[in-house]
Amino acid sequence: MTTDTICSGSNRLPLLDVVDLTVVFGNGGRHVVANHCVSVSVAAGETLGIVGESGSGKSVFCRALLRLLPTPPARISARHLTFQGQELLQSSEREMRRIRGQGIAMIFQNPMSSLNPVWTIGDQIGEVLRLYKRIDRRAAQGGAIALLDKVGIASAARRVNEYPFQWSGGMLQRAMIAMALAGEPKMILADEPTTALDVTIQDQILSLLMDLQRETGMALVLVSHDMGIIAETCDRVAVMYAGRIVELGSTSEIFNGPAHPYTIGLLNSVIPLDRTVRRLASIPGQPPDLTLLGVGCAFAERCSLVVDNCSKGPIPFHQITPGHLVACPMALNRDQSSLPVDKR
Amino acid sequence: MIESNTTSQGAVPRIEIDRLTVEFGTRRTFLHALLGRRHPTVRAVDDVSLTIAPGETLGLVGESGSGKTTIGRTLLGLNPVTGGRLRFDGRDLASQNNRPLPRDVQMVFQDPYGSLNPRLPVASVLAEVLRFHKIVSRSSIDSEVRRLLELVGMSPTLGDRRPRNLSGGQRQRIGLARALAVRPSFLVLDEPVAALDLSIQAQVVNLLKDLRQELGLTMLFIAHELSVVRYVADRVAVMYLGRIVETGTTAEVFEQPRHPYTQSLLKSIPRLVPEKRHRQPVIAGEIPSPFDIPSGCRFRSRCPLATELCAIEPPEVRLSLTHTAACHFAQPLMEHSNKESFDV
Amino acid sequence: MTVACIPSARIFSTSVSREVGSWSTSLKIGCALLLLIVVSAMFAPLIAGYGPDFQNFDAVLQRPTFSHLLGTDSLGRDIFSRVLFGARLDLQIGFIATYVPAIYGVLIGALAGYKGGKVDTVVMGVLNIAMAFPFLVLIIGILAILGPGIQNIYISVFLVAWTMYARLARADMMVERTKDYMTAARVLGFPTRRIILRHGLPNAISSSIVFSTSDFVLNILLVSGLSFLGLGVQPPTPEWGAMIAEGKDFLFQAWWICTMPGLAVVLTGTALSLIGDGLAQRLGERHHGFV
Repeated sequence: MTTDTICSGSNRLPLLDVVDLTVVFGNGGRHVVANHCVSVSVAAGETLGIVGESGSGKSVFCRALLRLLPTPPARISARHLTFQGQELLQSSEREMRRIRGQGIAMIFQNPMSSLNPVWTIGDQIGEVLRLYKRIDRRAAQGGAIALLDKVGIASAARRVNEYPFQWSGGMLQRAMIAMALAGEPKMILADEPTTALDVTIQDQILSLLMDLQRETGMALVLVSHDMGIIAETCDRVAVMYAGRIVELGSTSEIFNGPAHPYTIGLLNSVIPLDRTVRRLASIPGQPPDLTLLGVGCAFAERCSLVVDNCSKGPIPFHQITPGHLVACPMALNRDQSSLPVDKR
Repeated sequence: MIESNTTSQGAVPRIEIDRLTVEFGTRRTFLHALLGRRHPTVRAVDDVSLTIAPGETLGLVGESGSGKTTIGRTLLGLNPVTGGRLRFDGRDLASQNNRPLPRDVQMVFQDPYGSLNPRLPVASVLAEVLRFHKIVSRSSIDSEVRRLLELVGMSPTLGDRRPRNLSGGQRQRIGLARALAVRPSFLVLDEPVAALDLSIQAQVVNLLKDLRQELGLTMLFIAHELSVVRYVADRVAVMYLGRIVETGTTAEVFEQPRHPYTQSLLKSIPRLVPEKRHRQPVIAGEIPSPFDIPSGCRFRSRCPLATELCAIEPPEVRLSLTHTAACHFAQPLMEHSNKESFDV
Repeated sequence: MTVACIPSARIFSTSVSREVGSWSTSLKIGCALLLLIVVSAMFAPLIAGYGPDFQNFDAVLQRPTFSHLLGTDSLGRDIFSRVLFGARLDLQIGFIATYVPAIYGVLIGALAGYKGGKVDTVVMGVLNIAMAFPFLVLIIGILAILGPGIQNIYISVFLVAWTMYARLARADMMVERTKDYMTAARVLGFPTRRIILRHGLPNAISSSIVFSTSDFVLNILLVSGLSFLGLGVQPPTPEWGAMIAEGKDFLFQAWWICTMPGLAVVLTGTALSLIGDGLAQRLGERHHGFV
């Protein structure tokens, strides 16, 4: 059992259970620990948000789950990596292919480059359908139209024969979601699905994802750097920094009572839209070089609460409430309002 | 000397954009010429008028196709002007081929990765600018480079690094230093923080605010992130499909938006409130293609308030001394047709 | 160019060794091999046992022995010495035939790529016409008119070989042109000449450099082939192709006369090929950064 399920007190067996996932990229002397002992679980129907900046390892995490990383440069290990009870790291490539698309589906950040430009949308979705079910081209075309309809493409029957260059970014993202739904997956991994889209279109896509999730009961793992999106869509949130999870909890716990200095710093960096702020409290310094990470806390050099012990050894998770974990020993015994702000 | 408008303080505006129109023609092919067909053009900017007072920061917001980037680039002389006038400090730029002098107007670019020459150490980028424009004497170049680096918050030892060994935030700082090296009085910033991580964004916007104060810069801040604009700008202009739909002080536009598009835009932005959304998207429908712009009010294809009246070009309604909105239904205090320029 | 820190000699040497250390194996091997060939060619008079034209009728068609490392040919000339001296010629020809057209080819292509519009249309028109000529036929034609010899080979190569470089440089320049640092240079008021030469070109020549390594080999093969046909180097000048031609009549009796210069060509070609691969990878890394 994972720390997560123990702490959340949930009796449901998690759909996805990850314990101590570690992903290392190395070639001749340079090692990048892209994910370090990442543990998280997702229950059926739940939405998990993963927040982090570049280098946090959130995209690597998604790809590692589906074993999409080429394993000569990447080395993936974990104590558990189970999906619906099946150990993904022990599965053969054949079994993984079954899981990809029909168990876990993925949608990517840039819809313009995620679809094949020389195939029609209908053919691409149709191909996916024909892979999973034994149906002919006609039926696959019909299935594609139905899926496009479901994701809100108007005049789907007419547009199904168009090419990606004829569609806008928002429509292409809907097409990607349609493709992801084709295999009737139990879980969708969405890696920054709206980052490349305009705000009003982003709004539409997020509503779509929420609606689909309610309808199908799928779990959703939403990776984003936008705190607002996470706040509005997720049940639980994992905050990642330099390849590690630094805080894990329910959305209200994370947003109303953030405990890790990085989480607090991140929330302070968001400029509120509804009031004027005179000075933004920013986190000083730069994200660390992932090849030079030491044993201790990766955030230590930028943290205002740092003490000697922070760089000495691995930081264990501390429990604030059952279900709210922080990788920071200082988080428990400190008054939040006394956190100094960056005056630069 | 063509007479120019004055700002409310009676000072000559630093930048004046007077009924600017920028059209892009798609490639005129031989076939088009043969058949006597007019080649299709896109009006990226249509009859836009704006003024920026000295020392002021104007935020220009909009989504894809709004024309905001085109305006920025046209101010630098990078696009040909199809109609209208540009004035800098009261001087009409048409006599200079609509290109301002490099020492008057500079630009900070969006892409921290492409905006620097990958082969040059960043200090030599700055040194080259100083030398070419003879900003300081030859012997002072080194110390001026050091001063510029410190001005943007970077340690001078980073000067001999090449861009690939610097982070995104550091590269943007260099881009800023490069623009400031010629000591311009007006700076155009084209989405300067869009590609940066949240915590680095906060650092860079703080830097911009400080520099603006220190150097008395006049700025045009182009962005699609409204929150950043709120923090940095004094006044805001909202654009949609090549037209300005609303202008006003930051407080006016963000707290009392009067144009339906501005209102929808603000509502579409996810809030940091940890509540799972159950709502429909704020605006349905796609942004119209720039080749196929709706007649009359351009927003009417997606506007919740649209009626038949909207097929007529909406007037520019003056809501206060500084606040205007181009909508038939905005609450009028005084009515102006959009032919008259608004002077005090 | 003044920079904040001027590297001292010590720093310079470690950065060079760090650079070489990061090279891929193929690049290292290729460079080492080419270096060996070039040095051998340079020091040919010292290394070779005999003059390249020295004929010894007592040692005709001798197989490789200690006194004649690669054997002798039908006139008793030492093959090893001739291969070494031939290397000088072949390397020189390869170098000039490759890099002279490369220089103006790249300049023309970069100009066309940056300017676009009418300039580009004119350059592309000329380029397409030049490329339309079948290269070998053209060369043989010119040599037929002007007579055989290295000079005339150069003339024909200089007429058409620039086109590939122009194309590559143009394509690369069109990509670089869209990048913001080029726009920034414009906005900073730099003249077009400076933007193309100092900012654009250094970033737009990787494809051309990589291509030049294959071009080098191909040019050596071209001259060898022409000499084989009797249109290139005239005897008794040692040149690998000419040597192969001379040896073909003795293929069964004295296979070494053909094979040894042939091996020399292969070795040089391999070295250049390895360098080309390694450079492609290295330049790509430097341009795009490590993934």
